[in-house]
Amino acid sequence: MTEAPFDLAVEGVSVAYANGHLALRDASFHLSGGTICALVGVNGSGKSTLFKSIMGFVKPVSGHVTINGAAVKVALKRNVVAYVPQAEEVDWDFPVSVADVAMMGRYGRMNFLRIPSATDKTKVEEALRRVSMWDFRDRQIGELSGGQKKRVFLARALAQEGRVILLDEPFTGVDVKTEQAIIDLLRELRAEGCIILVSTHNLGSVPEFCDQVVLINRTVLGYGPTSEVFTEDNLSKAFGGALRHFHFEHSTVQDHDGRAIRVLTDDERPLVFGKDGHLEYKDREGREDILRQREEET
Amino acid sequence: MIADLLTPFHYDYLLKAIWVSALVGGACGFLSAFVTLKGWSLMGDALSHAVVPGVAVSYILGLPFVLGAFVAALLASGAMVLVRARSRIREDATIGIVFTSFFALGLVLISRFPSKVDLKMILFGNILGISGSDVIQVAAISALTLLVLGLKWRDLMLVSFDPAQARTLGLPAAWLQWLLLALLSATAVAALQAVGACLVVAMLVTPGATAYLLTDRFGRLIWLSTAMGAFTSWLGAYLSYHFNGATGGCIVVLQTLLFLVAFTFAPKHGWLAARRRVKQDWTPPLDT
Amino acid sequence: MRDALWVGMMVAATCAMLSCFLVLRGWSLMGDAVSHAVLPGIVVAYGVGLPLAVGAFVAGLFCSIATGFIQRNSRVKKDTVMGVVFTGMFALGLVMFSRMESDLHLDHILLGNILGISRSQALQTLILGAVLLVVTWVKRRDLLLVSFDRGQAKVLALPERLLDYLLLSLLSLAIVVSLQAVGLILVVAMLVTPGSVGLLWTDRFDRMLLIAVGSAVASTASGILISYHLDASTGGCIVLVQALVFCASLAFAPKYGWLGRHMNRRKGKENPV
Repeated sequence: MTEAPFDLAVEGVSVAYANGHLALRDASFHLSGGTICALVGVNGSGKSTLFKSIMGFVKPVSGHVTINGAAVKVALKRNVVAYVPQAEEVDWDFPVSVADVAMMGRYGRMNFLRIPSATDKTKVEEALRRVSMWDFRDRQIGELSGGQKKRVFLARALAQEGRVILLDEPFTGVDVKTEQAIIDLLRELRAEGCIILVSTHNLGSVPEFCDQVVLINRTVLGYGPTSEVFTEDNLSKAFGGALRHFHFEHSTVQDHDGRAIRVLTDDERPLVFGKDGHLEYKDREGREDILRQREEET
Repeated sequence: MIADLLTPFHYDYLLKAIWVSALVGGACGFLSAFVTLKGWSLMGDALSHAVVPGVAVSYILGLPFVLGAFVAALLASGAMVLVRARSRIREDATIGIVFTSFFALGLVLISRFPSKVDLKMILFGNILGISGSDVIQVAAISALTLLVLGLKWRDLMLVSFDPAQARTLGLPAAWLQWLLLALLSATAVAALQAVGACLVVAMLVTPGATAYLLTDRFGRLIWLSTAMGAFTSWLGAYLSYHFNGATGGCIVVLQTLLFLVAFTFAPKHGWLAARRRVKQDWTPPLDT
Repeated sequence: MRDALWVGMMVAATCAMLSCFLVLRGWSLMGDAVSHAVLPGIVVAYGVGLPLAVGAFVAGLFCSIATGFIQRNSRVKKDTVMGVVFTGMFALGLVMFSRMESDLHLDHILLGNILGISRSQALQTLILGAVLLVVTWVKRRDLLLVSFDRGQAKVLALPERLLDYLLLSLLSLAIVVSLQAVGLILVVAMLVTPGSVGLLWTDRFDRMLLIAVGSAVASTASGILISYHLDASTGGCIVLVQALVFCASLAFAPKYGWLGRHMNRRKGKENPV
């Protein structure tokens, strides 16, 4: 799968609510594939509005979104934009099976009657196998666990062969194992040249798998590589007082503890900053410089 | 011309009917504030249809219609709660199924005893022509509803808005919910006589919705919707004398017109106001 | 009588198929609203001399468009807006009707009069009903996707607005078709109950469609026969039979009925996982 890298440009986008208030003003950023980019901001910061304008759900009052130089509408016709909804947005009582949902990714490529061809069926099978959900293909979607549900919708995006993939809060209600599986899959997709845009308030996971970040608070405050943009300063700007701070005094971090800090949380992974950046990296590739620096300090 | 317009006021029974419908309108208007707040439109529609078999049975047996209607309304609410709690059918579909079944039962009953019940009266209401004892029942229900609402509206508001808080304050939340439902059934029965089964829901929704566009205060919302309900019902009943007795139609058309005016011109929540705002309003981002 | 049976069954099948979508989308109130809102359309069409179906269709569509517009542009909840709009239109219809000299029977519009249907009307209904059935069946997958996940439909550049309007148009036409059979007050039962029955019996959409249609056709046919023998309101009998079928499903459906759930719970207790 080597296509020309994809390119997403959001330029000066402003979006208004029905009551006339602006939800987003003059938002601009550029991304090109493959990348996994996090969209970070508090609730009500315009995250979902930005998502909606990239998907063409809302029309900006000014500015425009282009995908590979073409307007969103054109891009949608080519079926290159795929999205994975939040679990709450889906009616899980619906009488559709896992395979039905994955097949919905193919509708744009089918004929008028939406009768699946052999290609459609193989693509669906491939996608379901890739997220290891093929064995569950005949299950009604409500009978799945939170992680399985997420994977089904991810399979739909795969079956659609989308090149710009939008995920809305992909890790809520998902167990740690599935989270890792999803992250691995996203990395594969990045390697294939996809643009993956993840909206999340789960800050701790961002430096782990996202190489770029867009910070928003009713406009784009900044965007770029995670190491440059996802800093303590910028985050406090984006979140204002909405972030909880845990400050570890010198006395907490003692030499006889091996200078190790353990932070236990239940659901959301905390983001931990050290002297020159993030302390906690599961994904240490490309961070050798920081590691070396730390080594030298000790 | 003038004499023509004043005709209704020369007949005692017409005058009485007009004032009674104003009373019904006021009670419905008061309640509509809660219906709008709770999103109970379909419920209002459902109850107004579900009382029909009760009314039919009462007339067939010669009982006061209020009694039968009330029993039917309670049965219907019970059935809805039961089906909703124990199946995967959505709430709206449940309500739809239950109320149409009740209404169908009423129709079958009426069609078996055509001489005892006036179907037209049930469908369209006939406040200008109903019997003296029925008028008294309607007036009594409306007055009672207004009285209860007037005394307990703060409690009911709290229960509608935040049941948990109401419970922590030691209010009997479940009872208050049932009280609201009971009042809804009672007014549905009264309004049935005024505007008929099909249009009761308008009396229970439109004034509240209109007031909701005009104010942000619940107390004021109640005043507005009660006043609008009473006024439109008064005027509608009067006008309907000239419209061949389509009382319900006249009242509800008036209410809808008021709603449309509010929707367009309301100072803060109106359509024009929103359009003006698109250009002006913008709150700066936090970092500036 | 035989005409009435055929017409009733066709109407039942059409409404039942649409009811699956309405039930899944939570559009019951929409069915109720559109069915009442057709009244002014019928009255105007009668006054002007157009076919009643045309007036009804336009009015039904207007109701849903007006509801959408008001809801988008105000803070009033959707169900409330719908209540305001459809009762307003129904009231307007009543007022216009009261000012008109006509031999139109309001009872027949509101409550249906299937036993008195004429040959040509029956033929019209059958043809229109068949067209509706075919269109709904052919486009069922698209309509399902729009109901299930609008976002996906939009992302695939399916004409989702158009599909919404298609569903609304089908709904309005189905209501027009069923006026004769059950009348506009009880149409909503035809548009809600069969789909709910289907949903209780299965987890597959295509099967749900077939079950809905089957149960609706059977209960309509028996309802008409019962009403003929009891000399009772036809619409009422049809809806009551459907309600009985629903109650039976609620009790006995294998997986989602009360009995089925009870058995499953027992089974779960015997061999806990």
